[in-house]
Amino acid sequence: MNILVCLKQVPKKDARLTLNEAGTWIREDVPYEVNEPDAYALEEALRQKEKHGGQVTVLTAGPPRAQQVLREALAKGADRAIHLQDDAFAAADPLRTARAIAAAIRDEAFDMVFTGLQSDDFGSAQVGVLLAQLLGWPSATIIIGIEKTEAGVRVKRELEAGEFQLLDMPVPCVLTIQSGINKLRYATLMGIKQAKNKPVRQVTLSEVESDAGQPLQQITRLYVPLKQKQTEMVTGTPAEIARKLAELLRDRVRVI
Amino acid sequence: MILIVAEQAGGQLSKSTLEMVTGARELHRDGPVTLLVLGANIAAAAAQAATFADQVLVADRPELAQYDAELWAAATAQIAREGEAHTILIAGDRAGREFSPRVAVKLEAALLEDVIGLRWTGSALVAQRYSFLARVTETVEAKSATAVVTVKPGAFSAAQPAAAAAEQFDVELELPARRLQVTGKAVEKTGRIALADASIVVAGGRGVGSPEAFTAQVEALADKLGAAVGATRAIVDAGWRPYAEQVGQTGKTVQPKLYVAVGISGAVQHLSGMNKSGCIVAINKDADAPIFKVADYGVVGDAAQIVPAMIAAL
Repeated sequence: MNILVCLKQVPKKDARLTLNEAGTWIREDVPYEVNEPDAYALEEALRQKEKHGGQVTVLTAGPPRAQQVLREALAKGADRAIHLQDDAFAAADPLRTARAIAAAIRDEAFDMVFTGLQSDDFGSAQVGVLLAQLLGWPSATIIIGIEKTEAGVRVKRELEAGEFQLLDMPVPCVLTIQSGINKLRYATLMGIKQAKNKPVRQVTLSEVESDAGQPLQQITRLYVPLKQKQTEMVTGTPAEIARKLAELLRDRVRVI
Repeated sequence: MILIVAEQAGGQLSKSTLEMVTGARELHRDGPVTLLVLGANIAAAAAQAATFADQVLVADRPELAQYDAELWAAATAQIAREGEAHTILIAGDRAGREFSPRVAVKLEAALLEDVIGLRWTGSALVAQRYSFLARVTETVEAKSATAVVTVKPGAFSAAQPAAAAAEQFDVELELPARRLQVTGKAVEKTGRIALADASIVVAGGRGVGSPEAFTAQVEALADKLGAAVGATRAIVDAGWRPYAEQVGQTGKTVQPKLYVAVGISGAVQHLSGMNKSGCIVAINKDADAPIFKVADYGVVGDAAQIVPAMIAAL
């Protein structure tokens, strides 16, 4: 099975976020990492390849800095990479991103596309499903298990409140992967060395710009709360603390 | 018109559906507030919908007995096109957030995902939503004439039914063949109130110490308060607690009136799942734990002593 994994580089989870002067985007001089659910998507693709053969291709759409997530993926065992490289991809809306990816992989032949279920920056959870719609493929979201079948794959997906569904679906298809579906591996020294010789296909904005189309939505303002809460510390012996908390919850918060 | 895709189960509209009706009314845009009810044997839900909307469109067909993203997207896009809907509201739950992108592509419409606020400026639809793991609030504007919006559960209060019922119309749909076959279901029920529905959540993390201590402290306090039980990813991964209890994993957020965090240090990913709770009480041994940054009330101390005392005091 040939699997494409879409990776996104996002600000580290504990990075201090500040806004640009216009207040329309974050300042980009922050440390970055691969989007966590995407790391699980890559791991799942590598495991499928180990079981069933085939190739794992990784793709990212982002500025030159985003190449780091491709290098790490190649070091972990991905076979080749595609980089849609332009600063414009950093804050592109999900539909333009999905259209650009669809255009970039037009001549490729993948059996499945994996993405993380959503990104830690926008958190829109759209690109995977948009890609499926643009490619004319079926899709399933929030996947926590994948087994190959005769005709395609059987997947386990998470619904609301502790409910799960088993689905049989044909390939090609798009699956969005939940964090925690597997245990992540580290890149070995050998892997890091081999990654240097693996092919990275560069795709420029001009190659996909007409397919990406015009933005249909625009972020006009971001707001970062300075300090979210004024915390009141409750002190004393355990019994005193318990009594004070009970009073607060009863009289001030009025939840019990 | 404003088209709302209703959610129904067992003849009842979901709470999210009633919240979307409020959101639609508050927009004050042209055209009737229209509820589209999709499913099989849905007369009861359609009749209920008629007490909330200006008109109800009903597609009662056996093929729609079970939700499917491609079928729901095809139905929604077709009705939106035929009715010239300028705003399409879809519940921001797992299903809604799955089929909404497909609707947006079909209609070449903006897609404002998981919004917590929505207004019409007279020329553009403007939404508020959280981004960057709920650390940033974002204002986003639709640039297209038609916009698809998924509404975060709890963003609006539930609408009240009207005395008079609106008219119902049956609609004809051209549906694609189902490509996904549901072969099974699994339920990880804990016997307690579900996290999403709970007005109080008591959650625990590694700081609780052990699975046994979790039962003795977190579960006991939850029982006392009639609360749902939550857990951090670390202890779910460690096998202490079932996956259904995990809070803060990407995609799983709660917003109860009261959130009691026991032995939770407060990794960003956990905070993103609960930091919009009404009141947060944190109990942790480490005074520098990040959980205290989002807490309303903090207790630095040993949960093994404090929690039993709380149970006795409540």
